[in-house]
Amino acid sequence: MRILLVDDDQILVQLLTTTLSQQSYAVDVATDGEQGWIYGSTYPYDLIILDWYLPKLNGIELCRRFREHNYDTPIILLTARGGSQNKIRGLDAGADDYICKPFDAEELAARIRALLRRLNCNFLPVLRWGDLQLNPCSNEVIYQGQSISLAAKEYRLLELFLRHSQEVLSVDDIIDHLWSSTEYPALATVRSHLRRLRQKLKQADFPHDLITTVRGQGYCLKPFPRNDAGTDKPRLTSNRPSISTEQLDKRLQHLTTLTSIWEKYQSKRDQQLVTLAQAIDSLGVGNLDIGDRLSAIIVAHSLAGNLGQFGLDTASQLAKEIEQLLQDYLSHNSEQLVLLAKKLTALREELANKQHIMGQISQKLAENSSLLLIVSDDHNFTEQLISEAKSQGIHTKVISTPELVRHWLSAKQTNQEQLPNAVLLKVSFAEDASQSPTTQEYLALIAEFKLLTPSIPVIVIADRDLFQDRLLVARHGGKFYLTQPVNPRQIIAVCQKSAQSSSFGKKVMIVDDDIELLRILPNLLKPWGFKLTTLDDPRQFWDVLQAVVPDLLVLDIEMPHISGIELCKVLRTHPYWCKLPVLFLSIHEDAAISTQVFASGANDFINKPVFAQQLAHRILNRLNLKR
Amino acid sequence: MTDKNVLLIDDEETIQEVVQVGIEIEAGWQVAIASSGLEGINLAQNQQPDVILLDVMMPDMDGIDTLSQLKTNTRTSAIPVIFLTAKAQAEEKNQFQSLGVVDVITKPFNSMTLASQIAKILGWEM
Repeated sequence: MRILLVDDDQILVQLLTTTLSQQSYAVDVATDGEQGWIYGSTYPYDLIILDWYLPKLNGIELCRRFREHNYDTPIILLTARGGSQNKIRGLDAGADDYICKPFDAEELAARIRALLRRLNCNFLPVLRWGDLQLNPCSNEVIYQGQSISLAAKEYRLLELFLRHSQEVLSVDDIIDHLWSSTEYPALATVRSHLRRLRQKLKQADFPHDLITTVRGQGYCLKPFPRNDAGTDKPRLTSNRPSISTEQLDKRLQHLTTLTSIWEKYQSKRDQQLVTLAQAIDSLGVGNLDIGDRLSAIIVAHSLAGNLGQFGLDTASQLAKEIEQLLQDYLSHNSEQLVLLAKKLTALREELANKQHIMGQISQKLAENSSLLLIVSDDHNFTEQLISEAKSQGIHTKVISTPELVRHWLSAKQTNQEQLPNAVLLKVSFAEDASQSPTTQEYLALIAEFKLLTPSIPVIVIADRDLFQDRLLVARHGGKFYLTQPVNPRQIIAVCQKSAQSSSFGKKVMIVDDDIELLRILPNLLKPWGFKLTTLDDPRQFWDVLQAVVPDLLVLDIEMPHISGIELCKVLRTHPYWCKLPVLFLSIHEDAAISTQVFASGANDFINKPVFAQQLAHRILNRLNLKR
Repeated sequence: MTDKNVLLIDDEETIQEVVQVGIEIEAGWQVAIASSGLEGINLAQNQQPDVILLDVMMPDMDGIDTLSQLKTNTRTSAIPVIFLTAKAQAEEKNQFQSLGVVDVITKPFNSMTLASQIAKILGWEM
C-alpha cells in the first residue's frame, strides 16, 4: 500500500514516515501543497495524508482540488485546529477522515487501516482465502490456526493480492503499490519476493499455489476452489458475494489467449509499418508503382482492422487515415506526403506507448456487454435468470440484500467501474408494504438508483398485483413492475429493453459555431456516457456525419455558410438520414422561428442557455422514441 | 449447450484467431476457417456449416462475389450468411440484406459477445 504524506513539519514527517514504514507502507513525502498536487496527480496512491497548514496551497484547498479533479483516493486531514466547524470544513472539502494534533501514531494507523478496508468494498478487518487469514490490524498471517512469519514486503504482497482478488497485477502494478516513487526495484527483486512468499506458504503446508502466473501479463490470486458440500465456502471477505470461478476462469482464458494472439503478430505488425514507411518514401521520390501502392493500401486497411479489434482505437483511426491518404494521393503532392509521414510517426508512437495491451483488450471485452444487477436471495430464481441473461450476452451480478448493494455500488463508483445498465429487484409485498422494513428498504433502493446521474432503471418482480404496490414502486422511480409468475425469458427481455434505453455509448453529434459551448458540453454531458462528436464548421457536416453515423444530431440554427435549418432539410431528403432524430438549440424564442425549425423536419427545440440535465433528458427521450 | 459448426471466411490471420477464440471459449462451437472466397465455397459445400461468417473486403474474390456464388449454389444457398465488415454503415447494411445476408456484424467486434450475437441473430439457444 502506498501513501502520500503532505506536511512541511520535518519532525512530524520523520516520525510518521518511520511509523508507517514499520507497518510496511511505502511513503512518499511532499512538503508543500503544490508539490503534493504534483505527486498526487502523477502517482497512484492508496491513501493521502494532508496537513491543514501547508505552504503554497493549504490542505483544505489541496483536498478540494483532488476532489474537483475526480481523484477519489481516501484523504485524512491532520491539523492542530479543533472544533466541529473546522472538522465540517475539512470533511466538506472532501476529506474522508480528520485527526487533531497531537495524535497517537497508533490511532492514525488504525484510521488508515479503516479507510483502506473501504477499498474494494472490504469491510471486514480480516482478509481471508479459505483458511488463510491476514489481519491488517496485527500484521499477522494465520493458516489453520498457525502463524506464518513473513517479511514486510512478502506480507504486503499477500495483502495486495487479497485486496485485489479479481485483478491481474503486472509487475509495474506491484511496484506502484509496494514501493515509493523514489525506489526503483528491479524486476528480479519483485519476483524474488513473490517466490519467497510462495515458498513460505508452501512450508506452512498451504496446499494451493495461491498466486498464479498469467504468462506475459503478471500475477493474479487464484479463485477459491468450489466446494459443493458447502462446508468451506469461498470467502475472501464473508460479506462480499463471490463471482463464479467458471466465469472468472473463462474471462481470464479469453484475455490471455487474445493477448498471446496480439504478441504472436507483433513482428507482422512491425513488418507492416516498415512496408508503409517504404511506400511513403517511394511516393516521395515518385517511384511507387500501382501494385505496391495497392499493397500499401491493403496493409493500412489490415492494420486498421486488427488494431481496432484489440481496442486500440486511436491507432486504428490513424491507420484508416493512412489508408485514405494513400488512396487519395496525387503525384508530387508534398503536403499530402508530409501528412502521411506525420500520421505514420503518430501511429508508431501510439503503438510504442501501448505497453499494457491486456488492459486495452480487457476494456474492449467489457464493451457492449450490458451488466444486470439482480437483487434477490432466492437462489433458484437467480440461477435461471443468470442462464437466460448469459444466452443473451448479458453479464449478471447477484447480490442478496440492499445493504450489500450499497457497498458494492459505492466501490464501483469509487473505482470508476462500469455501473449496471439495469437492476432487477425481487420484492415481496405480501406483508403490509408500509409496515415491512424489508419492503421499505427495497423501495428506498429503487429511489437511490433513480437519483443517480444518469439514473439506472429498476425492474421490480413482485409477488402480487395490486394498484397500491404499483403506485409505491412508481413513486420511488421504478421503471417496470412485473408480477409473478413470469418466466426468465420475459424478465430478461424487459431488462434488455430498459438497459437499451440507457444513454451509455449513444453517439450524439453536435453542430454549433459556438466554440465555447462545444468546449464545455462534453464535460457537462460526461455523466450520461454519450459518445459526443462536436463540429463547428457546418461545411464539413456531411463528411463527419457519414463517418460518425450518430444516433442523434443536435444543431444550432444560425451558423456561418449553412444554417442548421438547411442542414436539417438536406438530411430529410436522404432515405436513411430522414429518420435521424434532430434537436435544435437556439437563442430565439419566437414562434415563427420554432415553426420554421419544425417545418424543416426537427424533432425537438431547446432554448439556449442549455442546461446539461435538460439537454441530456431531451436527447434520451428522443433516442427512446426512435426505438 | 447446442453444438454448432461455424465457417469463417476471412483472409486476416489475426481476425481468424480472434473469432476462433471468441466462439470456442464462449460457446464451445466448432469453427472452420477459410482464407479466401474459393476455399470458403469448397468448405461450405463439403462441411455444410450452420452459419457462414463472411468478410466483405478480401483480395481476389471479395465477400459480395463469394456470397453470390454461395447463394446460386444449391448445396450452399440455404446456409445463413452473416457479413463481417468494417464498412457496415447503415446504408450498406440494407443493401447487404437485399443480397441475402441475414445480418451484418461490424468490425471491430467484441469477441466475448460474438457467439451470443450470432445466436441472437439466428434465434439459437445458448
